[in-house]
Amino acid sequence: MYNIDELKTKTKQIKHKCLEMCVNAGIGHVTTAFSCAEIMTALYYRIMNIDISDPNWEDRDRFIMSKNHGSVITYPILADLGYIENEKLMTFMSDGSKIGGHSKICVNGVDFSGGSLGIGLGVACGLAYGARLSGRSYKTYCLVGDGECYEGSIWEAAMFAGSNELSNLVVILDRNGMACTDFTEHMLKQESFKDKWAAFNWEVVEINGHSMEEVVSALEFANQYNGTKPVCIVAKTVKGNGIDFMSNNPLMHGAAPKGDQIAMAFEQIER
Amino acid sequence: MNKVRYKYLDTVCNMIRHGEDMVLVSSDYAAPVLDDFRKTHSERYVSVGIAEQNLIQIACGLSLAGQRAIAYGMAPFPCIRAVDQIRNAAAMMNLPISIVSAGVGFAIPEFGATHYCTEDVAIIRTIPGIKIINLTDEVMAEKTAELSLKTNQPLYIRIDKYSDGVLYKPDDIDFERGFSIVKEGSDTAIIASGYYTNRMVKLAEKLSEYGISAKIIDLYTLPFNIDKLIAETDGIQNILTVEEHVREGGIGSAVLDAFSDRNIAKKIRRIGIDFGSKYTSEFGSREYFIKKYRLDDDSIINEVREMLR
Repeated sequence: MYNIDELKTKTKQIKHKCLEMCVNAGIGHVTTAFSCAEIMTALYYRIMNIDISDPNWEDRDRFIMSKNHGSVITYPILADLGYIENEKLMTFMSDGSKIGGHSKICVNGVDFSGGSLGIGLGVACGLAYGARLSGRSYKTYCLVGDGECYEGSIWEAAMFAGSNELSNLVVILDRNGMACTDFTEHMLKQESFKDKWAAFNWEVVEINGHSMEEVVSALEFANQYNGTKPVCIVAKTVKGNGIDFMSNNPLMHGAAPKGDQIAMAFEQIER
Repeated sequence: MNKVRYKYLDTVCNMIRHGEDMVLVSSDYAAPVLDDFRKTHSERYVSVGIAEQNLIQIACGLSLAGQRAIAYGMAPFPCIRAVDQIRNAAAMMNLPISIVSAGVGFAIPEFGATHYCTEDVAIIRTIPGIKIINLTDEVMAEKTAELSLKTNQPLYIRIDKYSDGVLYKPDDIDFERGFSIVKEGSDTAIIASGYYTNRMVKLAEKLSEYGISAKIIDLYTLPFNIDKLIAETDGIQNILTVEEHVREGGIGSAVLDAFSDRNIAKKIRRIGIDFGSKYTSEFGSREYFIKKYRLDDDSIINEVREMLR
């Protein structure tokens, strides 16, 4: 099990590889990936009960990447853990590659084919309900973006989980405050997320999603939680965290750094 | 009583009672056959409320968890409200869920055009990997429920409100072929499905009074075996398709596509709904709308006689 310092180091390595992939492709959701980098590292290297030698193990914890445009961050993790070959990473978004802008279950280690926002949470609810029916003890973790919380289907699913007391379900809400074109609070106000999820009968925890200490603490709380509610971790994050010219910049939603930006980006994520 | 719906759901409920890993998910749509089941098997009768998007999402998640999920709701909403989920979750991951739309066509016209299920075939048949089954009778309903248990692909199952006649024995039905011949004939082939197959069998008797021998083909599965359908219509130059669905993209279109793609020239006419430039604001009985959109017996007989002239 990785300790906090090791997780921090691993996060930097994963971000570095993710940036390499997007720069090489000339495109990619770097900013969306970087808002959830610490969360993803903590999940895969410390929290989730998975067996790399048996990717389809029926009792493994499931991970549903609902905000799937951020899935580019999962590929370096899956390669580092041995699910996919390292050489495949640099085929990201290239002709015929299975490693693309949204992750699909044809890729080893991926539990859900995403891309259309608002769908993943409901699927995660079905998985969690199914685990209960079959008496399996695995947990289902679902990463939801704040932008996709404009989709009504998220709230259909949130109501389902709260009403059915799916305490084996954990949502991490990547609250980076932005959708594609603007800050969420400039579009349609979303706050208070804490109150909204609590009102749907979820156990809600608010954290700084870039503090590895807080991320791990919240995920361990959720992992060991033995109450009757599903758990929602509202992680306050920064879109494009770690790269100043990409952070909180609506023009950088689906963009990779170009030209002089490339060296600056690599330099800044090492800080 | 809707015996087709009853038989499909009753077969599913019995499979669950016998311990199959199956779950019936409902978007607040009931049936008398479920009244007792949902109390005795409340864990495997999952209500999502009036939320068709989540109906499909939950079914997909259950499928990923190894359960056989039946997503049951009032037509047309499991299709038109949730087509994103059907395309991007069920089809994209090839999950063997069964989406059951109950009350297709003008089955419940008293509630107005919002409740017509008249575009779903066109929508679903463009999504790769989904098998559409339009239930004709209770024998097919039982066989379809058995298929729901063992299918390796998503199913989209259409159930009418009034398909009560029994046309088949179990061995007559072949979901890979996709159609069955329910009456032989030599002058024309009438291709229909669901409730309309039953109607066409009766209509064939009226046609015989005009000296017209009509072969009735029940096209209950899309996609179907094109070569076998072409072989079955060999020697018949005039084909009429009949459906309570818009003409665009329904079974008539599927038949046209098939013959055109194989370079087979026949006279093919499609009887289906033409709403014109907008949906009707009228309410009324099914028979009223059948007549309004020229799906009634007299209109079909006239179409056949004109085609054969």
